[in-house]
Amino acid sequence: MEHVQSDMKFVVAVDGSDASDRALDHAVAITAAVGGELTVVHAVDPDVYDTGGPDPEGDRSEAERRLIVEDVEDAENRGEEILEDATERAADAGLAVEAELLYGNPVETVPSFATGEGYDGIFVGHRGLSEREERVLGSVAKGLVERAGIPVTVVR
Amino acid sequence: MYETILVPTDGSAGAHAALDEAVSLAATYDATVYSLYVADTSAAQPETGYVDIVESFERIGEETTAEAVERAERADVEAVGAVRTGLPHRTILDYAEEIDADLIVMGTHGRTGLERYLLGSVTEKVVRTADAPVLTVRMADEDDAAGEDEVGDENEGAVTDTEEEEN
Repeated sequence: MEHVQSDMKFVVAVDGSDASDRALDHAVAITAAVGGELTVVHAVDPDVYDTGGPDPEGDRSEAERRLIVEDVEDAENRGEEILEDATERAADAGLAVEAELLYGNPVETVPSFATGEGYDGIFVGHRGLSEREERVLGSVAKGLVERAGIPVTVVR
Repeated sequence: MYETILVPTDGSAGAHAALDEAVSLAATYDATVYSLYVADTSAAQPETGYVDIVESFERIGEETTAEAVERAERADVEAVGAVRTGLPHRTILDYAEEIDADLIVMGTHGRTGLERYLLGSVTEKVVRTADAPVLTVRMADEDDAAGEDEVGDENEGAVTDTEEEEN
């Protein structure tokens, strides 16, 4: 394995889920191998939090219920915690990472942050939802794949 | 770590962009690139001369993967070409398992046109179901991306292209 010191910069989008942890572990390994830089990002999306939505009750998955947090401030605090956990997890694996809290729909804010700051690629987890679940919850991974102008690596 | 990188190809521009990314990664991580062409059996119905169609797909596949291998080797990257017959996404997943791929690299299109539907749906299925991480590369010459994406990242991709082609 070549350990080339490079100026490769990657972003990994985290949300505290198992899939996100796997994406983080993968991103850490890939970044460390080229001596690059890694930034963990989490997007606080007010749109997700300010409504429980008119959806029929009982048709809501565990994951979706967890998403409905009291308000944006709680979401910010939770976002900070997610970033801290991710930073620690990366440090345990031997990589010092930067952390950045973003605001807005992750499908838009993550690519615009990454391309704006000159990153080379984005890593994101995918929970492996069924097509039906994905229609209800949406998929950040899928949105990033469709929108980002830089390579996106989806980790399950 | 990336040692075995699978890059399915259908000869399209999106697949070329994916190959360039795969070769660049393979050079960085000292990995081997596997170029796979799937002769799509769903496109050949028995009544339309199944055998002929599959055979001609296989011939196209041999040429396409040979070109990919050549392209990788010009960049000093080890490469293997393979042609398989079957349903694209299923065959890609089976082959990924067979070679124990660390990464699958695939192209995506933008939001317009029939091409997006065709390549996009295979990519989407692979992203949804592959055990290995899937790296998606968007075609560089898309105009619908110009408004929202920085021009800089497209240029970086172009630089990599040039380097590989000069080798």
